[in-house]
Amino acid sequence: MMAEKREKYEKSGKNDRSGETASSDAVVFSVCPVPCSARPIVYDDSVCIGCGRCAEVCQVDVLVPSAGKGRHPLVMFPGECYYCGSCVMECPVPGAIRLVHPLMNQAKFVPVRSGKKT
Amino acid sequence: MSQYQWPYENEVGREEEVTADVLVLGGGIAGCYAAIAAARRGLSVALVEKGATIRSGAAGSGIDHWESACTNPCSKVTPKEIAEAYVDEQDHYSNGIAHYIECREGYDRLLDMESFGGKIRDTEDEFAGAEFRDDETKLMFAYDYANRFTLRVWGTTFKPALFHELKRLGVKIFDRTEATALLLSEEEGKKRGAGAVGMNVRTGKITVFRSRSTILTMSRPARIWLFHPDLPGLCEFRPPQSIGSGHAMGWRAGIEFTMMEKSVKGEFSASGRSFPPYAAGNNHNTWYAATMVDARGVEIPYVDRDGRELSAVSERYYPAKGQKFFLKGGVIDNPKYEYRGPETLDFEELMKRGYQLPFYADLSRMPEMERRVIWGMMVGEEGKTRIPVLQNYTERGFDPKLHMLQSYGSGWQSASFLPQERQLFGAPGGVMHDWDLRTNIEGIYAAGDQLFASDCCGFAAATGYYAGRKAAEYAKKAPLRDICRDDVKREKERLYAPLLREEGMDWRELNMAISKAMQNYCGEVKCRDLLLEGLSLLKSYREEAVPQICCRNPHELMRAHEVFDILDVSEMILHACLLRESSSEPLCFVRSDFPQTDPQEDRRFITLRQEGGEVVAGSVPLDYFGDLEEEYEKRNRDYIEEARVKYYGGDGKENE
Repeated sequence: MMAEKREKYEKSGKNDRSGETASSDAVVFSVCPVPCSARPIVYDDSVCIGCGRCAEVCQVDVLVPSAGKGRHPLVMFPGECYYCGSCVMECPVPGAIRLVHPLMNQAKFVPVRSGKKT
Repeated sequence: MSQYQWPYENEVGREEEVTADVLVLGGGIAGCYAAIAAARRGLSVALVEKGATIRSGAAGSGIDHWESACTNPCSKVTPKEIAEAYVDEQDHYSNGIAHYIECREGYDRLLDMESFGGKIRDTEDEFAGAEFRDDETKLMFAYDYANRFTLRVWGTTFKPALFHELKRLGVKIFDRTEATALLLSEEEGKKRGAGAVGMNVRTGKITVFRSRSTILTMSRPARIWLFHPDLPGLCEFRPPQSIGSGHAMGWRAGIEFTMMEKSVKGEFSASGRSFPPYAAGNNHNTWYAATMVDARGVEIPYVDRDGRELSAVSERYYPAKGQKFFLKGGVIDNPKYEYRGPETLDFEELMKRGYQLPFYADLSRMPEMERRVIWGMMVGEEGKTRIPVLQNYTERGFDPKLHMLQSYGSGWQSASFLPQERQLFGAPGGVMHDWDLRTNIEGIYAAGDQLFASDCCGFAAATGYYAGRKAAEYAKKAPLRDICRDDVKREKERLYAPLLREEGMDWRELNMAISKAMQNYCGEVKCRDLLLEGLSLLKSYREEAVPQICCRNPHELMRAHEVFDILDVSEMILHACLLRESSSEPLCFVRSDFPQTDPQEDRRFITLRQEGGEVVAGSVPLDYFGDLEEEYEKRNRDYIEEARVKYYGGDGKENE
């Protein structure tokens, strides 16, 4: 039924000022990782202590806490990553998070050349 | 695709009310300084930030230089000189008020930053003896080493320092809360700011903020022309959070804007042909004045404004003979002769002379201090380069003494954009304001990127603090005003609507459609018929697509509302383009139906606002701000005295 969510929400009486009402299941949230062509953030499970600081500082909110305690957050919205590196900067354990730009953005470098004008 | 449980509480429908003397919307550099200024004056302050204040905003992860700190002890220029130069350089389509504030108070904000724990000096003597360093104060300079008014700073320390200071001052920080609408009170036909609505982007909770004064400190608009549904986080220069919601809610509330017709051909976007800012070989801003070479390794000459080739690296940092100072930085693109600094030879001239592509930045040829300050300090402190460039490239084996880094365009853009791929960059449009940084609505102020012709980090900090002062003064006398319950109810309905749909369109589809429409109907060359066609298409999106957008959680809901805001701003831009019936060089504005360029009668700020669903246009003279120094000093006597004692070693007695 198309209007099921709205009906439930309206019946739950939470669309008024009842600020103290406990949460109900009027609207049930769901989420799944949104795939994209890049893999900006990769965790090393053997190093990560699962403190969740990375998810707390990410302004774009691409990471969500994992259900399992002590596990690294899930990269839920990788396409939205801004590649600022705040997660890595905040991480207390070096090497737990790797943040790398998509392949197409890896600028090329070569050994220096000392050419002459021809 | 496996479903996960939403990890945060579900608070849809829950509402709380928060009261504060001063309400700050946006927790970037401008918002933090605004909140600090108001809190220092003893007022209660609430700060609303969509991300996490500790790292959010355009300077969240860092910033490498601070422009126009004209009052630092080593500076050889005055605030008046530099502010007036900016106004002149931008043909008076410039924000004189804000630039003067930046030039006059920017260094005060850096000293504040230092007192909060941010690093503004080379305290470890890493660069002792360098030409760009003053060994007494340990301040370090960029660009013009003779005049020393742009500072190199360790900006990765800035946002955490500000965040801790906000907490110390007792500012109530509402992180992960998206400001969505301004609340106004209307008494005897006069609108005044009364607060705002916020929504938690993890739980869906609504917060109604009531305040005596409100400061808009959100970003400039983005994702108007540039969008990439696969990598939306990379398609603009500023963070994907920063899309101009302040402009959108201001427009909906009747705030007056100007220069919204200005847009420039894209300069930064890393989701397409372009490379991430400062991640490829270049010689601008962070990388100024890197040595550039061609494919053979032949050095590309730097020339002064008269075309004289410079031989030593050091000469790239000094004004030309007979020139007092030069301008470089964020909004300075191709400056007038008077302000032009050393630059590599023009690209076309290089091609004529047989230089071979691709070019590279070759730091190995620079003196050690210059090399280390670029690859190390600057690339280490700029916002998006510490980890993905400095760290990653080093891991890949890049050594600035041994390698040269390829360059991908003919300039600092690191890419070639199409003319219709546009951005609000280079001093774009924003809120029109008076000398108090007040908007046309009493009780509502603006700062930073929210202002028209905004600039860089120093601009954001200085105007933020200034707006905080003025909003605090107002709040001391103003009552808390009643808010209209119906306005809140309507806003809640608007906010939750996409969550209550069973199925529908993803936010990306709408963003992509808007960007395509803007490229088609508001590209490089504009004309009335196309602009009207654009408005008509956007109207159909509003009527037909917006009611289809469907979200499964508060995160998606945040993105959906960003796109609705982008739709509002796009309409404002189309209206602004229709209102200017001539072409303009400084505004990068071309009308095929009005080809006359900058006629005298149109050399003015055209303003626009919404009232009762209609667009109301206005006109303001270009130099409406008057003599910058005089007008500033008239209005800021208390602050001048306070600053003299606090920042400049004054004795607390008025100077005779």
